[in-house]
Amino acid sequence: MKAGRASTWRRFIRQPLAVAGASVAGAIMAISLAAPLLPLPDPATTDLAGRLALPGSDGHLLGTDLLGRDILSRLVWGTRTSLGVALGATLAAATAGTLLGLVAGYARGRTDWLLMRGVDLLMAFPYLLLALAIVAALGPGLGNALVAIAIVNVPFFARTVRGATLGVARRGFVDAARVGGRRPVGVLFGHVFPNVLPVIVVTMTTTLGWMILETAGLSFLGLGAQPPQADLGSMLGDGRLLLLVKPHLALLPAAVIFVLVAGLNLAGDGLRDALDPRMQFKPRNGG
Amino acid sequence: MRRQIAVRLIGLAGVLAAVSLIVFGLMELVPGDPAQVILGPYATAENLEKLRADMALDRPWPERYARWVGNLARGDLGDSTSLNRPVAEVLAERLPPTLLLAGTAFLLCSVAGLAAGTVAALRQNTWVDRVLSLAVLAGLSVPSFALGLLFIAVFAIGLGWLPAGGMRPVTGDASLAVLARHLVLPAATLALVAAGIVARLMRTSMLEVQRQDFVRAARAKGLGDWRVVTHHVLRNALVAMVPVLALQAGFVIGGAVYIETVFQWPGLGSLLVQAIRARDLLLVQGAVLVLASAYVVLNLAADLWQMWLDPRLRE
Repeated sequence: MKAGRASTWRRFIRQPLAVAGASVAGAIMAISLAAPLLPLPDPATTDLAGRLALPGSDGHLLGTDLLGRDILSRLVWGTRTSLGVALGATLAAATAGTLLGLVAGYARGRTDWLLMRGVDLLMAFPYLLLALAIVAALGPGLGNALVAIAIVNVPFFARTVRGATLGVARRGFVDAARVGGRRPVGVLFGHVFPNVLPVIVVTMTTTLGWMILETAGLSFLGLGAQPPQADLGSMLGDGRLLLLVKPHLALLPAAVIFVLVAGLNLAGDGLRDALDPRMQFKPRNGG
Repeated sequence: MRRQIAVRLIGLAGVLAAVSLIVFGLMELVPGDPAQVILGPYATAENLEKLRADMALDRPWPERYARWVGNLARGDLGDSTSLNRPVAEVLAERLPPTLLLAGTAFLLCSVAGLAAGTVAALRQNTWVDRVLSLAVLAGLSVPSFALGLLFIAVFAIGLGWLPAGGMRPVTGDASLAVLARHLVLPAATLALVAAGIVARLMRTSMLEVQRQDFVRAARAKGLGDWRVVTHHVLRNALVAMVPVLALQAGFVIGGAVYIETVFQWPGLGSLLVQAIRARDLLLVQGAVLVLASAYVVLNLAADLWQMWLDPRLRE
């Protein structure tokens, strides 16, 4: 078991692009996590006299926005908000999707059919549209955006986990556990789940990037973060109004989103190649 | 094949019914009293009472759903509160620009994505392949609206080549050339972001087909490289791409909401965003219903098309 993990790690660090992506994304995450400790001005303090200062001006490394707020500070805090929502949505979607997928794939038959038709139904909508519709009903706000994004991503997790579960559930050690008298729930979580976990982790890594884009999208439209709180998407939306005169206001948050998501995507692809889920279904706790 | 089509059409009716149920159900998610939310804080008690009666809010939901579907069948989607016009009328006006934008973007993304994926597969592991895969990664990592803003900054504001937004100038000059100039940036933005996935999956599909026995057989009987690629590999690789393209159609429809907003394109997408901001729920309901139904029908078309291309699926 240890040897398996070590070789996964070795396969991962042998891919320079994946390592670079993971490092960049990791650095951005670390900075945004450390935001309260960094010597940054308050991201919401306005200073109308010093508004629209250019990057490099006194005391404001990246300048100030329309209300005189420090852009660097807003970028760091905004990244923290975007990441928080995206991570929350990923965890929620992964939990719900995993439960659905595990139960459907293990129970098979009518349960499987019913659950998967429900999932198909969610996928009958273009997912960006469904997220918008949910926010429209619940009302704008970051919490509702999180809920909407989580819901539209449940089908991806449910389908992937169901597929993996079908493969694992047919294996001998699962039968052995069942014959040995463990209850279905025990078999599912004690034997099937640990072996499906790598697939879930890979799906979460590759999904996190989308989640950041989707959160930013809703905030860009004014349906996510509400003032004075900012995330990367709402900063981009604000900057858009001044695109003609101060393009850096929109381009800076766009650049952060791009670098962060590209880093995550590279890392996710690398992790998938290193784990190769198709070959990963070896029992990890045989008993 | 005919039987299959009949089965699919029945399935289509089922999915459309389900979609309408979800769109109807969205109203049930609205916190508080829908009539109050629709009419806003300044509604008179009289109007509220009337709308509650119209929506039959005191009746159980199956009855309200049946009533809603009945109205829908007659083309009555209610009145938009923010525009003071029938929702159906507004939707009919906003649909053609969206069809134009999404259709153009879809064509562009299919052609560009399939071509790029083919080239990458034929030149596997060369610099061409690597550059393309990095470009695909960039496409998957950039928010479509940010790319749109970048295009506006560069091509409209910086270079002054193309208009920054709208569908036609205020002067009302509606010639095709003018329309086309306004279409270039939004369609290209939408297409570029969607083309990445198409290219990546087309490359995989080509590589998979190239490994098949019938390709080796074609080479063994002495066919030239070009002929093997065009007659055997490409044709089979394309069949697998049909469902991918259908998925991308969904992405284009959803993405149109952002791109129309960025480029002030007067379609259903920008209408939907305005309606959400104005809490104009009936208009939101209508726009979502039209866009989602379009996607469902497109998916069916893709299914049938793939069946027609691949006899194995007809069994």
